[in-house]
Amino acid sequence: MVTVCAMAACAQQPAGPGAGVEAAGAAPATSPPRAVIPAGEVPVPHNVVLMDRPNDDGSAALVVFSMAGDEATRIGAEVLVDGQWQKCVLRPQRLDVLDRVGKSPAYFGWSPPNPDDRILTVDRYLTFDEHGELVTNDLAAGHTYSVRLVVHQGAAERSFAVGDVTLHEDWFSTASVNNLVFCVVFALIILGFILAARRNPRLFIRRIQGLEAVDEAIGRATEMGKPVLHINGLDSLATLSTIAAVNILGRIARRVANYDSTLLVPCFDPVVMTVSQEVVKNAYLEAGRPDSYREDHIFFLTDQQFSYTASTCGIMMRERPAAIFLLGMFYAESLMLAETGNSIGAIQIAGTDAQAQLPFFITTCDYTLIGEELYAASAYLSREPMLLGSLKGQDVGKAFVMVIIVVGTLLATIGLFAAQHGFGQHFNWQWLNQLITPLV
Amino acid sequence: MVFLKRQLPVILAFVAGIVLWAQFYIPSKASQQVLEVFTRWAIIMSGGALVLGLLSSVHYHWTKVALRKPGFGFSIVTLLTFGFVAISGWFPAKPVSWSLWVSLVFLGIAALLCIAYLVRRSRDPSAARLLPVAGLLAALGLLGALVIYPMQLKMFTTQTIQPGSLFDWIFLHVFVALDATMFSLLAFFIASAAFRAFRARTPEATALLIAGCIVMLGRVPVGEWLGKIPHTQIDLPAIASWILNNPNAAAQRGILLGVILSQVAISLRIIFGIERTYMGGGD
Repeated sequence: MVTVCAMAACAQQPAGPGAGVEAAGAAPATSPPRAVIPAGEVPVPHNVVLMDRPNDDGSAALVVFSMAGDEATRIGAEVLVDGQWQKCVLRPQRLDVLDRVGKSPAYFGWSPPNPDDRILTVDRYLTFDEHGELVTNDLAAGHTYSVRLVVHQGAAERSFAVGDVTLHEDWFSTASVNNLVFCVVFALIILGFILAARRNPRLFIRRIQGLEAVDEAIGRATEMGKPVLHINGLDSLATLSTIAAVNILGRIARRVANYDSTLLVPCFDPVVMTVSQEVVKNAYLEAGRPDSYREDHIFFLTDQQFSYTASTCGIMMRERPAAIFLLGMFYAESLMLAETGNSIGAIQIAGTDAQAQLPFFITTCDYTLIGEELYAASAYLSREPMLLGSLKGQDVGKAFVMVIIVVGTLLATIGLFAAQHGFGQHFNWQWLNQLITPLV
Repeated sequence: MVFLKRQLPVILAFVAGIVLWAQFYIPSKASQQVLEVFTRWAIIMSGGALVLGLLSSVHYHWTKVALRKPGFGFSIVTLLTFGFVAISGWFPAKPVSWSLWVSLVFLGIAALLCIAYLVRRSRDPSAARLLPVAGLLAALGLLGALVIYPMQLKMFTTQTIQPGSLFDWIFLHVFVALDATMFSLLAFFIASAAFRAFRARTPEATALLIAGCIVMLGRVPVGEWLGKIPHTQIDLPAIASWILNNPNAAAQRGILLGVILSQVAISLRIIFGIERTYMGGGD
């Protein structure tokens, strides 16, 4: 339900003591009398629209309006509940910090007619319980609420009835249609390539140096009689990079089992430890060496970042592993781990999608899997056609995004060129703006 | 058994993946409740796994001590600290008193005697004389810490850790300090890594060196001061910003796009059961 209200017609004098055009609240007896600001000096909102917030669970309404104001202008809202106007926020918000329509494409699309209009979200109201404590109440879907804007200008305030709105629960987010379309198309491309890979398993995948070196690193550790150290990053299993690291651990463990070397996996997260134990155990089973599996070689250290770092660095210094795999999500400890590994002369293969940590790994490690290579590693190491097929599909998706970037850049450049050379005076370039805005 | 171990996890991964994927596009209350349920399950499972993790950690250090592996002394300290901090968590509210301090001194001396025994016992058989003394001190310490002190202060409450409690003191004055110490080491690691990265052996490394120097100078006051020297007209802060906002941001976005597409691909592989290594299932 959308209500459009002409403010000139529905401006109200506020009811109740302490509110209104006069200064709210009682002034101290010793202070000079507060100036009374005439009602006309409180800015009046125009083009006010009250609407159910789109794409939500029916828990909020939006008040959209345009208004001239300065830094002293503050906006609040009130909701009529059981015959009484209840405040929606404890402190009114400054007009200049309210969201703009043009910044909220999820609600108003990419090219709204009045992008500078302000949005006030009304999603709760405040009441007092029997003990005088402030209670926050949420607006509920299916209910109709009367809303009014309260404009504060300095000490003066004035309220403006906006109208009624019925809140509706949405069952599909139209703001996510582009995401859905891209997701479905990309999924179909990948699934298509997976099916194609089943028919033609000889797919070409470019060489990834870091993954080619896995065998070399494990072989070196075996020859030197030293262990292989694998770290699954410092995130939980809810992170995809950790899942990718655990997948690679399975491949590495199988090679370690084949070489009859030792694999150490100090874990930061107990769930990752449990899963890692299962993965390594199965890898040893599949390699035909279940007797070589040692459960206590995959152990939990601590879930504190620098305690884990100190402990892992200590393990490196004592056990002197010949090969170290640093795969998954890392934070500030990445350089400490990699430098310690470097100082003991181990072959280090790192892989992360944490952009801030990539320079540290590139500087310190022998090989670094950059971003997507971490996710490709499991498929690359297994050489399983169906997994390789998904990599090809991924590359097609990347090519698609590259085309979009090039087209978007060209269109933006043309638009800029046209604006600079005054073509806009003769032609309407608005369509171009509308075309490229969602793209870029 | 094969169904439980191989097929059921794949089915569960498929159902959970599809449900949570669809949930992203459905903003209704019911959809949010589904997400909340899944999130709660994850938290509950993490809580259960934490017990396994603690057992694993204790087992790891206990084995090191039992087998006298290199550095087993650190494991003794770890185990003692583990026990001490765990016990301190039982007294969340009141400040420490004399009885607790005396108990802690007894326990500390007992721990030192135990360590001395473990270190000397292979060389000196008479080191066993230390054990009765250590046992007596440990018993007195435990009596003070676990009986007299709680009785004295009427503790064992269910409230959360309060400021000024022993646990809080350990956290603020031991853990935070040690954590900050480890973090501060990063500065020295960065210096050594930067020295290695900035050796101009190849054209790429030279470009990195030049860009790195410009960005470093552009981010400190001396860079700004250089631009104010008459006839130089070098605006290093602006050049540094340009390097960060253009070539650097472009490269980072390229990596980010690749990562996002890879994440979609790996999610699909997991949802459709093509990738099963993470559940120990191999190919």
